[in-house]
Amino acid sequence: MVKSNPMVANDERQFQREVKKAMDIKRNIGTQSAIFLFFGIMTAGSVFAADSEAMMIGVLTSLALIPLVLSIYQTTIQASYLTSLGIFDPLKPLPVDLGGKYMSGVIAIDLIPSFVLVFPSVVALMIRSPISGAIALVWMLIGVMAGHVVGLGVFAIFGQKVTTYKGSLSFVKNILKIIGLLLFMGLFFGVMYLQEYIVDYVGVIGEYSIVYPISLATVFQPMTSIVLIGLHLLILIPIYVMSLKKVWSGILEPDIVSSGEVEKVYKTSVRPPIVSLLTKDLKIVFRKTSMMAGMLLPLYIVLPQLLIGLTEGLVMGQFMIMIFSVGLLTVAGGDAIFKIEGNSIQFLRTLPVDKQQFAISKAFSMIVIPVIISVCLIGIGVYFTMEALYLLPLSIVLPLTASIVTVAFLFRYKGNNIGVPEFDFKKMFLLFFIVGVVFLLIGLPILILGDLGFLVSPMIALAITFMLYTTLEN
Amino acid sequence: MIEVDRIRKSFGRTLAVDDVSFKVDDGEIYGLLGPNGSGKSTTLKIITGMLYSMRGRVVIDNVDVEMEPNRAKQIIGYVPESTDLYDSLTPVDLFNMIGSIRGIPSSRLQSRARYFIDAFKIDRYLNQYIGTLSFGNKQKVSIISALLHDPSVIIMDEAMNGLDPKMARILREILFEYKNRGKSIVFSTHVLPLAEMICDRLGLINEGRIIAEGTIDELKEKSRQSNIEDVFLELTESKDEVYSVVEALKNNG
Repeated sequence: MVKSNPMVANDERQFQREVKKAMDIKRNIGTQSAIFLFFGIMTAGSVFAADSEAMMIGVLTSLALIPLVLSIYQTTIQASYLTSLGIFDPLKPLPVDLGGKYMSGVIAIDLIPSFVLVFPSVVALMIRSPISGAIALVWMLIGVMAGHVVGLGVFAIFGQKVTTYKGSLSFVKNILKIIGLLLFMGLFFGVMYLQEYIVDYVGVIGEYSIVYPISLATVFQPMTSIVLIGLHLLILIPIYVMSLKKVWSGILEPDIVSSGEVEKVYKTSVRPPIVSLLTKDLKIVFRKTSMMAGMLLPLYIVLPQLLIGLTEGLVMGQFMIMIFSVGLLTVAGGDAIFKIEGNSIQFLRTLPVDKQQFAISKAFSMIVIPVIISVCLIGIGVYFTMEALYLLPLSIVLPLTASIVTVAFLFRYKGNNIGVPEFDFKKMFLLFFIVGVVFLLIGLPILILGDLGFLVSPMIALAITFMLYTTLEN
Repeated sequence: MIEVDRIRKSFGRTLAVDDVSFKVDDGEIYGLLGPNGSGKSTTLKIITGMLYSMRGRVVIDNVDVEMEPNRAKQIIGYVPESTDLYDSLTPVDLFNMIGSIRGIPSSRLQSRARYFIDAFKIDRYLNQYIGTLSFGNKQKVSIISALLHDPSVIIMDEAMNGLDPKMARILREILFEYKNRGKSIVFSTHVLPLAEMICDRLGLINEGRIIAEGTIDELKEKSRQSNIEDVFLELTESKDEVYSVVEALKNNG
């Protein structure tokens, strides 16, 4: 893979460096973990300095969402990507029964940094309360495991059925699959919401937050926490085992669905090259539902706040945070968009596609789902306050700015050959930081100028986007 | 016309292509033969602009491939060794994408695609996802993808792999037709009788170097062998190796 990546194969020194790096798992995971640890230490301060148990719990339960969501995201994308690369194919004819565990292990290595992020906060709690800290440590591990299990479940249910034909109803079927995926992913949030409902009617059960991550609230009640941990494990372990078996049998022998009709008429549809590349990306993401799961990351992050807000009411400030969050999280979607290519990048490189066309098409591919999410948020916002419409321009421009910053950063290598840039957690974090700074600049007018700022901010965003766009064109 | 002039490529410490030069005229089919790992695919990737040579140059129809790779790709049709097509696209999706990127007018794309779809008999697979096609059908889609834009230079790396005899014959006839129209074709294969049947000239590559070049008759004369397989073994100095392996298998089998 390193040999066929033009970003590397044409530069002798870089090639040797990349081969050495690629083989060094410890170094890769270690570097990513170090960066996550840095951010983790920053958040640990708030746990250490908290002056009440309630405050500590508040910080921890918010943090606990991170390993869960990152775990879901990594598992769904990596499972789909690794399978498409054919990495497990050599194992298929062998008389071994550890294929699924091998896959789980390969993916689990990538989940280490997300656990490292919350580890300092757990240590901070351990210093103040050793037993509670130990229990919190177990909860965080459960969070990682839960995300991994959900991710495997998503891949097993939505990512492995192979439809042979693209029929006339395939669009509808894909939409239904995505709705199914959203419902599946919303399971945790749905259970939490259900618990809120139960509180009103069955007080005793309502005293305890039984579902992760809210269940972290029980860390100062060790016995309750241990029971809940046991319950979670009782549910998660069998689901994990079942999911692994299903995933592996799906890899060995995909469930082929011969639906759709044979279409013998060839209908041409010629578009501008960038639009054609964008269409290709969207078709693939749409058809590979488990990749779509990764693209929906911005939705998982804003969903808790949205659900709470729907019952308690939402103000403009909350919408702004959500719109900016979705914009920022567009960066994460780049991972799925680049991984779409897989080995097919070799085929694309036989075509006269230059780096700029490829990068720009990727930038547009990255924004489609975040823009849809943002615009839907505006639609919901309008129900609460018409002022939400002021955010409409930003809901479109912010994801675009984030995606252009991302591709300008990743495609800054010399030469005109296209390739799939390496996009690990290290680079993702750096881009979150860079885009965060850019968004700060964009958001300043709103803070300083008030309502007028809603006009000025999109213009600043567009100006930055255009500047970076022209660097891609040159 | 294809002019390959002293190209060289290494990957780390492995010298994959070492000072390779050859020329392919218009209306000629040039066969590139060599053992596994001899540098055939790397040579073809350099010719098609997918890899850069460390030195030397490749000029195709007066276009320097390294200086203007996309211009070169416009006139090259390349069938790579492995069919890494987009599994989640259908052949229709793929042909339309190629037509869009290559700027083929809609009517021309329609007629050319139709011609190849009929020739290779893939009409019933048009809206089947490429990932679910058999290897042979994927290979057909790969070949059509390379020929849709009527390239003046065609590079094929083991293109006959997976094709049934009927389709292989159709492809051969298409190549002969293209040759008669003055196109330059480089064809790499392991199937020696096929090389003998199709190619006007052969280049034998071994350990990254062209070790012999010429027509079939010239190579037979040079190596003093009567059939192409013995020519290959003699010139790549692997005849004795083959005999010793066969003997070892007989003794240990």
